[in-house]
Amino acid sequence: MASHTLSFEPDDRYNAFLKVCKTPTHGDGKLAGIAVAIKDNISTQGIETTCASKILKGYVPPYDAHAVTLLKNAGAAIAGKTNMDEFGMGTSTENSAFGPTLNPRDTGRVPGGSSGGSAAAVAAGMVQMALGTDTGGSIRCPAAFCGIVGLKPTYGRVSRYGLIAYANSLETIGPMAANVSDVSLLMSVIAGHDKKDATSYDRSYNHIPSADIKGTRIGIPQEYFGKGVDPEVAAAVKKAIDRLEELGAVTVPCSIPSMEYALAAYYVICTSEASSNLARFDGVRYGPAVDTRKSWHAAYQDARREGFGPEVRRRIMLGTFALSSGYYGKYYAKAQVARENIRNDFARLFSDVDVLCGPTMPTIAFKLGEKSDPLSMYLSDILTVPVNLAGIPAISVPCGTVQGMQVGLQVMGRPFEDERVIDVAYAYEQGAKP
Amino acid sequence: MIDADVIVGLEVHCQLDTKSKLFCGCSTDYRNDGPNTHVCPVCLGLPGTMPMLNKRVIEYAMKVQKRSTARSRRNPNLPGRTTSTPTSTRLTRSPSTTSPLP
Repeated sequence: MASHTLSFEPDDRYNAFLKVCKTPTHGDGKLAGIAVAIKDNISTQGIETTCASKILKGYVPPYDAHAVTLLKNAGAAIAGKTNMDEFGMGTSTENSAFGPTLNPRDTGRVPGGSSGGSAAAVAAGMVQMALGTDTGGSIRCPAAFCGIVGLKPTYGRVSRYGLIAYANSLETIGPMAANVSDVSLLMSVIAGHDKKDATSYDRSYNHIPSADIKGTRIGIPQEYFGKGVDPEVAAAVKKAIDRLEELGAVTVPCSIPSMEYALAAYYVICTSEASSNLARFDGVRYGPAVDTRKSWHAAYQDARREGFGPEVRRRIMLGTFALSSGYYGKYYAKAQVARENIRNDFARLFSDVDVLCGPTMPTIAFKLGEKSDPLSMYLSDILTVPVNLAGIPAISVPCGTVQGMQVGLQVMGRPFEDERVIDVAYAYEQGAKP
Repeated sequence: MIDADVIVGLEVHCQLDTKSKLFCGCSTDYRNDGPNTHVCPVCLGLPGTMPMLNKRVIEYAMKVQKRSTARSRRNPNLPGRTTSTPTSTRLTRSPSTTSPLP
């Protein structure tokens, strides 16, 4: 199967890669000979997989994630593992234990996160395609900040087997590339049922993007242009939506009242799931060894204090608190109610419109170190997290620049209508003449 | 003397006669085989693996329920437990996932 060898020696001046595979092998198929970069929280057989965390340093999985198996079967060459916020926790790729990734467009700025390494590798032309993962915007945010295309597929459409879990009810693997056609091609390889993932659905993706969007009804939620959204970014996205209208789409103003609670619900749910998922990292079975002369609890504490970065420790503590006896009803149960309200709001809107459009991120890429306070970083996720709470598909496609940095147009769709969000993004990309 | 009813709860454990393990496809027929020969990434609890509940186990549980006064929940919304140790691989099922078990 893997009968050919590729020579891959990128000029990685942006710290996009944690590990480069210089001579990857590949076979024949849809992606024959295409170098694909893999985010470092996706398991790759024989290639170190760390989630950009010290706690997994030296861990080499003995198996491939299902999406990686599918890539290899399609002839792709695994080019290496890309940098990220530790365990996916962040919006800038600054929370990596191995240093931040720089934005290829302006090295004084962040590439976005948490799939910042994958986005930078594509944006700098080092690879044609990359896999990212999206828990609260981690594919769409770096796609927007680096000026590339990134799709967060419908929950369940791409197998999560082999994705090292952070918040399993929210996260998904998805494709990233410089244009919509390549994102669609990569999606066609990784989507489909996997019997190893109990939440996987039997919905394959065999779609060729179509730029015909005549009559498509586009909802414009007012919350996506409200408080906290940079007016210049909002203007660039509005211009893109005008272009979609010229191409035959119909726009409908609308509202998502439950968005008021989206960010709070998201951070309660993702930290709660993280607290449970990350309990396994004890320094005994993988990663750097612990001092075995100590008692279990002391050794476990030492390993985790040493191995996890500050943001991961913060989220584990927040989640453990939210799940604790006496507080569960106050936080976790309420967050689930808010989540249900968000789903219902989307369902209501999608009975009238085909897709929703707005900015992917409220601002352009921040400067390195600009968001030093965690709360201000969390606030920048406001336009991406509702999609994960509802499990629906969404894409970010470049739509102009503000202060020389690219802005992303976000297109959100009904569950399992990944094809439609691809088509709207494709129509914009093809028709975006100045 | 306080007038109180005594209610006794029994937690019954039973090794089920299934062909494969509770959360993966590894064979349970380990007799005469060497140690660590019936293992895979899932039952080792390796990062990224996802447990898949054995269908037969659910059928056995339903049989017990039918033969007793026990009630079952239509949708076993197990709280978000995760694989923690290799020997006690637990079911990962997010509280918000409402799809039926396969």
